Amino acid sequence: MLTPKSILFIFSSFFLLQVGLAQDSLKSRPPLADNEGIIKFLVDVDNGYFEILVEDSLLIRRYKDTLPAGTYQAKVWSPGYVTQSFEFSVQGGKVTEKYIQMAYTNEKQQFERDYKAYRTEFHKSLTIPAAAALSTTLYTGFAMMKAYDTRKKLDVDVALYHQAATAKEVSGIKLNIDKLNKRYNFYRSSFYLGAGVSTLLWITTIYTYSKFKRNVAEPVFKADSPWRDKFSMQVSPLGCRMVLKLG
Amino acid sequence: MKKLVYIAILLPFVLSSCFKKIEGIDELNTNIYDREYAGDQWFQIEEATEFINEVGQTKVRIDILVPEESTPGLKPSFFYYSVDVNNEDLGVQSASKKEEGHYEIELIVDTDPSSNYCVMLGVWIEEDEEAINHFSECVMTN
Repeated sequence: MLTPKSILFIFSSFFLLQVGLAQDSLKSRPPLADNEGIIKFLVDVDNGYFEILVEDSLLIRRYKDTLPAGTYQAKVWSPGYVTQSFEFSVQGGKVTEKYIQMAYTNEKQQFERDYKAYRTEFHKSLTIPAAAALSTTLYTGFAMMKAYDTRKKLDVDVALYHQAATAKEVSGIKLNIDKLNKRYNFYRSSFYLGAGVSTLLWITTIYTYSKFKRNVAEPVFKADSPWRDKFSMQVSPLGCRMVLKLG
Repeated sequence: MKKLVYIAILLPFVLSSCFKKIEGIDELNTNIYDREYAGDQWFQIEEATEFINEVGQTKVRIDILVPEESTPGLKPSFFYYSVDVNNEDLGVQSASKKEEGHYEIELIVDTDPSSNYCVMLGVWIEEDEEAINHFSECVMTN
C-alpha cells in the first residue's frame, strides 16, 4: 500500500534521477578548447529579447555563446531600449558573465504613457461599467430566485392557513405569512429595481464601449532592429547561409 | 442600438407580470380559528320547533348547521363551541363531523313566552379555554 511517505520517496527519487541525467548530458558536451571561452550576457531588459552585434560582423541573439579568447567591442539592442556599446573579454576555457544596464528610448517611454492612458480609458469605458452591470445583474438574479422561493413558501403557508384547525396553529402560520410577505415584497422590489438598473448599466456599457472603440485606437509599439538589413538569410535546396552586408 | 432601447422600454412591462404583489394576503382572516376572523357568520339556524319530550314537558329544539365551507380544510372530528340562548349560558358543547364535512348542532331549550330564541355561538379554543368569533342569530318557533 502506498503511504504519503513512500509517494514522497518515489517522487524525490524520480526528481534526483532527472537532475542526474541532466548533469550527465552537460558532462557529455565537448570540453572547451584552451583558446576559446563562454560568454554569458546578462542584459537588463523586460521583454526577454535582445540582439548583440559583435565587432560589426557577428549577430548574437542568445544569452550565451562560445567565442575565441580575446577582447571584443559590441553593441546591444532590444526593442524599446537605446542601443548600447560595450566591451567584453573572453578568457580561454572559462565562463565570463557580462552585465549590461539598458535604458528606455523616448519613443518607448511615450508608448508606455500612451498605453497606460489607453488602458485607463478602456477600464473607464468597459471594465467598470461592465463590472457594475454584471454585479447588479447577478444581484437581480439572486433577488429573483429568492422572490420565487419565498412566493412558493407563501403559497404553501396560505394553504396551511385555510387547513389549520387550532387557534395556535393559525396564529403561528399568520406570523410566518407576515414575515414571508415582507421578505417577498423586499425581493420583489429588489428584482424590479435591479432589473431596471442592470438594463441601464448594460446600455451605458454598450454605449461607452462603442464610443471607445470608435474614438480610441490602441497604441502599437514597433521597433525594428538596427541591424535588420545588415544580415539576411538565404535558403536554397543546397542549404542555407547567412549573408553579411558590409558598409 | 435601437433594438436595445425598445427592449429596455418593454422590459419593465414584461417583468411586472413575473412577481405581482399577492393581493389579500394582509387580510387573511377567513379561518374561524383566527382571532381576527372577519368572515361571514359561520353557522346557520335551520329551524326552531316546539316538541313534547318523553316526560311530557314542552321544549324547543333549535337545529343549527355549521357548513363545510365555514370550517377549516383539516376538519376535527369534534367541533367545540360555546352556546348562549336568550342570554342564558349553556356552556361548551360539541358536535361531531358528518360524512359530508359539515357539523349539525341540536339545542334543546325551555320554551320562551316570546317564542323568539336568540342564539349566540362562539368557537371554543381548548388551549386558552375561551370562545372567539361570536355571532348571534334569532329565530321564531314554527
